[in-house]
Amino acid sequence: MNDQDLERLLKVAGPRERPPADVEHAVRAVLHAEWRAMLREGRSRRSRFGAFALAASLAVAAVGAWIAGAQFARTPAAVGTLAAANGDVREDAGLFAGWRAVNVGEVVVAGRTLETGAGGRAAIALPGGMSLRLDRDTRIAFVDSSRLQIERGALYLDSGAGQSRTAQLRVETPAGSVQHVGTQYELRLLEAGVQLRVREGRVEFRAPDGSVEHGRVGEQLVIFDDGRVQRATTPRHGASWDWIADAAPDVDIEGMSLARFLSWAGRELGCEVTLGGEIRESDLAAIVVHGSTTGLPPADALHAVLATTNFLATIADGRIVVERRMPG
Amino acid sequence: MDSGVQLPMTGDQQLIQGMLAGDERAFEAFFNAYFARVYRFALPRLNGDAEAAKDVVQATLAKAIRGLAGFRGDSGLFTWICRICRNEVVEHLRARNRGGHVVLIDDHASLRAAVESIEAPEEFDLVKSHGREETARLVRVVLDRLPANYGDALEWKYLEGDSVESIGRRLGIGTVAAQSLLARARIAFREGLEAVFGAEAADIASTLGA
Repeated sequence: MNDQDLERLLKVAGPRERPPADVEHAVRAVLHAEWRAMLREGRSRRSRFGAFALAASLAVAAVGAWIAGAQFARTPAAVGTLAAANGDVREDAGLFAGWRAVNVGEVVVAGRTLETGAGGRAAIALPGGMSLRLDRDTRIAFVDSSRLQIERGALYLDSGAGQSRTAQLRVETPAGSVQHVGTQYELRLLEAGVQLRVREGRVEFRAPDGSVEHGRVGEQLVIFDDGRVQRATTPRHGASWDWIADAAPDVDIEGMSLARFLSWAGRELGCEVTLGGEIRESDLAAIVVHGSTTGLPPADALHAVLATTNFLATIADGRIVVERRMPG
Repeated sequence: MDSGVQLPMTGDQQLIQGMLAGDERAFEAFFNAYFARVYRFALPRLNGDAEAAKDVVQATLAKAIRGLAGFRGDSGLFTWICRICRNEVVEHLRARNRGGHVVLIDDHASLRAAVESIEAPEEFDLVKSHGREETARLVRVVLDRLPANYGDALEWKYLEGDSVESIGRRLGIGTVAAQSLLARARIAFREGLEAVFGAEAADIASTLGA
């Protein structure tokens, strides 16, 4: 079979049909939630945390019932999974059920309002490796798997490292909507507008009148309801970003390479990872991390993990500098 | 350190291990490798009902994800998923009291075995007995049955005119690896055509009127 024969046959047979993009998006979101629920269920069983396992099982049962029932009735679409809850996180479960607490591992569905209390923060795992964080006193509602509305408070979106970047999430605010282009950014509602801070990549803000503003890495934009835009530079790390780490979900480090763990830590802390001396990335890729950092914020997890290796890290000026530990 | 590199995820077992370990890249690779193929498998068996296909594919892949830990590898992952999908199609039709189960050309017992194993040649004039459209669809089925990425790579190269470099970028692998993958894909496609049609690409294309 030569190339010409192959090309001729493929052309006469025609291209394979692509499923509709909206179907692909919706199914991806449901399956991602199902997969996350399955993982959570397994970890809960291993950890023997009875109450937690019960919550995860309920979530899995809910997803299973949703999938089984999908053939018979239209039900709310799963859009993600609650990956971390620090304090009060609840959802409006409907007219009769009212507000109820949401537990880690539960599925987040479209059409329901989700909010954090005055002392609550949350992380939601979304398809495509995206992570959404909610600051205190924030209220959002997913319209569907690619669109959410924020009513108050602040959120942070990390579109994920090394992902296919096909997953998209548009955030709608009273002042306009925000679309990310492979990024990490924070959006905070103000009294008379919104504040955007871009930590990585680029975001596009579209006002109701169709005008567009782009925010680039290291930029802060304040877009007022009357259309005025104020731009300023903003650091990519430091105290103003600390709430992101506070809302970070635990990462399962067991079996992870040290290189990947450092990449995760850098992303959470908004820092570039710099290798000192003769250290090569392949050295770090060959080291497998074991154990657990459950409950530790990213910076503490970084030091805890490196303490078990021949390396140490210094966090300063937006960099995590990794160096070999001196003998003795 | 470049944290933006997308590592290629190849091989059923590697994919399954990644999925069970909670690796987001594995989930993406799994979804990208199987969603469209299972959708194309389900749609004609549901008489082209797109809404039903969505539900069936979703249920199929959810069951597959839940069953990954028990997958023994007796068959290819896609073949295993297709078996789940067949059951879901039957369940779906039964739930809706639709007895009109669609039997496709590739559901014909002997041909199904050929498509699933891509081993045993079946020689009969498919165009004459099933028509041009159905035969063309069967060529596309053979593409779907190739190992993950092979069908995509062949379409990108020969239908979209992509360069090897571009295919490498789309797959997250280097140019040399893409060249090698294309060579393997051509061989697998040729073997698949011979197993299903008992003929070579040139003959099938001529029969289809190219």
